[in-house]
Amino acid sequence: MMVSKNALSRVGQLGVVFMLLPMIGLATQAMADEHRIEGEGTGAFVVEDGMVDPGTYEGYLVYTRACAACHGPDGLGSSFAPNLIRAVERRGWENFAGTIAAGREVQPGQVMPSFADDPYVMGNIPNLFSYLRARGEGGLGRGRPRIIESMQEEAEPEKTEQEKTEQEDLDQQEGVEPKDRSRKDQTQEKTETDSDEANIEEEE
Amino acid sequence: MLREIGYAMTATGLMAASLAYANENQLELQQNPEYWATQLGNYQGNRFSELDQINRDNVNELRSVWQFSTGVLRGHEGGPLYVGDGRLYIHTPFPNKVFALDLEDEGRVVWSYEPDQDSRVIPVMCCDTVNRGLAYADGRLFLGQADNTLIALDAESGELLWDVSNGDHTVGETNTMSPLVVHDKVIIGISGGEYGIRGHMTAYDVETGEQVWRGYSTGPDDEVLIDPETTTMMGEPIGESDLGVSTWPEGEWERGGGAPWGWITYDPDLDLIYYGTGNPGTWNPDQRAVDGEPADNKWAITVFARDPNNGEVKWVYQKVPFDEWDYDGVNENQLIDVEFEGEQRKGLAIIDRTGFGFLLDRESGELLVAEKFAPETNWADSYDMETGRPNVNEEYSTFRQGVDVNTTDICPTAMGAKNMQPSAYSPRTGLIYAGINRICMNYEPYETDYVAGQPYVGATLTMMPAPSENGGMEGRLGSFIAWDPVAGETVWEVEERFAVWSGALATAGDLAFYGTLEGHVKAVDIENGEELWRFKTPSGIIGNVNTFQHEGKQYVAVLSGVGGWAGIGLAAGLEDPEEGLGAVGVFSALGDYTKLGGVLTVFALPD
Repeated sequence: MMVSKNALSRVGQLGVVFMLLPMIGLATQAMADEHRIEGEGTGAFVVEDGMVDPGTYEGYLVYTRACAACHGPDGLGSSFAPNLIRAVERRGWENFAGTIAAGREVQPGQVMPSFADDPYVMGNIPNLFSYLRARGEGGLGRGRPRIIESMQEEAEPEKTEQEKTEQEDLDQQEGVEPKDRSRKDQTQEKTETDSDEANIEEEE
Repeated sequence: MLREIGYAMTATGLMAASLAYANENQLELQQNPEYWATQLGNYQGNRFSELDQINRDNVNELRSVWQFSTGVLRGHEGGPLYVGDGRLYIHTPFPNKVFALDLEDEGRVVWSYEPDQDSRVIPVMCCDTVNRGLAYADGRLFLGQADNTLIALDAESGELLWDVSNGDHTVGETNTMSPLVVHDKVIIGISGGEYGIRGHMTAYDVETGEQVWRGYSTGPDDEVLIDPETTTMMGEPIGESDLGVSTWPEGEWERGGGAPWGWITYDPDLDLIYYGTGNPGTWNPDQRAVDGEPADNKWAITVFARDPNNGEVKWVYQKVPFDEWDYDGVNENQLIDVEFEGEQRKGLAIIDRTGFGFLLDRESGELLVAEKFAPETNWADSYDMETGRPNVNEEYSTFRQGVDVNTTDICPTAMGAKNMQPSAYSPRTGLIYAGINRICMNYEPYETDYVAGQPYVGATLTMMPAPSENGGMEGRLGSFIAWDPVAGETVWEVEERFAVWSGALATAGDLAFYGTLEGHVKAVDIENGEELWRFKTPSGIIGNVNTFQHEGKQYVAVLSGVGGWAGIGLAAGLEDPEEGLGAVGVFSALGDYTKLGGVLTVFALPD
């Protein structure tokens, strides 16, 4: 019962996605991801099939830790602070790095703080610049990118999505609402086989 | 003067006699159904109005009678006060302007007040420069400014009567909350849980601004104002002393957060105030563990029942010991009288950040009900009703999954299944009406260092829509629910495209009101949630819908002006959780629907 319901809901979601794609104009960007795009100079980056070089990946982490709280997810801006993908395109490296270091009073009620006393941010400004360039000219999509496999060894060892998923103990899902299971099913499906769905069906 | 002396005598001696003095003026005003004298409508936090001139049968004729732009762009939380003098008193986010508007003259400005504040306070406010509004008593208005200055204004003239500093923004302390006046005290908490502050609740003398007591959220008992012999937890004395120190790694309680930045409610009969504390310091649970094991981090995410006269803690209930998800426990504690298992109980109901709806006994602090109002909730399966502790689902434990591991698909998000937007309770239906968030998250803790005045967060999170129920709206981010606090069940639910971030209102006109992030004010049938009326304000609504009656005419009023954490998190839209890594699909972006700008809109029926 559960399995077929999940399958149906997946079909529905795919439908929604296909409908959305042309509307939001990202289809061409998805195509561009098939290729390798490299940015040269300060804030160099590599984007290949939606994956990135280790420096750009680090830039994603720094962005999410230090910038997203005001500038919104994935560099897209918020009601509180502007889109940084566009800012990087328009303002360039010196202005970008200078604003992070010195801060800026934009207008009454809108202030960018200085990160001069934050060694983590200050030490990662080039990586931040790489990430935001990759989001713009590199056509990198939203969310957490993965590191290009051939460049992986340059990065710090980190648990992959696969390892984490394998840790999950299905027995602990006892008592979780069916809807949660369907969510979990779909997540697991990214990395695991259909046999997991069979297990879940037994638990029902 | 006589009243002050009388009050002082009762406070020192006869507990029972103090009942008559629970700020007399405020109590009288809020008992008059024509007024809206305190942000939550009454001390109990019910946001319910006996007015029924606007009702189920005529609400479709409701129309805007005037609008007023505040001239401020940021997120507008809170709402207008009406105390019977023909004016509306409103406030704004930073720079925290205050306006007295003539209700009869289309909002003409009677007086305005603008504090002079250090703009460096802006970037240390985690989630927009919001403010949840004014308090009123005895001809005075009270406002907690962003920079922690608590001020008293003469309501007649707007003249500053006194000001006092309640905190230091250079170490990350800020203020967003609305104070509450109880007896001769104005009581206010603090914000800054993302900056490693140490939370506190403080009472000041309404006449002079002099500090009367301060109770911290963490630390030694004598600073939290706990007596382990008499303060109870789940109905029993705490027993062990200084848990606010021993449940933390060495010294971590000093930056242990527990910021009480939400709403305070008050029971005049029991003479107790109630409020919840926020997240425990850094979002990285690993840095709050003791000997590698989870530690309770008391008293973060805790409901406090305090004596408003001296701050002493009557009871505590920690909703989430050892938080691993930033489930701030600040949501309002609705004081409701209920029949529970055949007995009349003085209840305290919470539509909590955690996705659970709680019912406690507000005399003893015992837990009576803990059920999920957001069915996607998965961080815990249930609550142990004996110990009052959650049964945490290890799969979604960001501590068990570890530092630098991205734990995925946790529901709800750190924004909570419900955030600060206050709920309403109708004594006629016995139900709570609340706008809620249907958002889940990925959460990755990382090691972070404490630097005074710098963010002390230690986790990254990304958000996605909660899975929708069968046949429900795909990718919806919110809903408006009617919740039975005793049965622990949702009675009806209306889905919304975005998180519902506005305060609800319930009325004797068989209506419930709320606002949406797109900017609609909606009136729904209180029996079934059927939409009966809507009006599009100029910007998204994160304020609260209030109602009052003047010269025989009932009004509804609301501040619009998108912002807050919702504005930051949702402006760009969320990722489609089904798209996987490198997602290209995007769910509804709030920025496509609304932009900044504060406006007060006042509604009434045609003459």
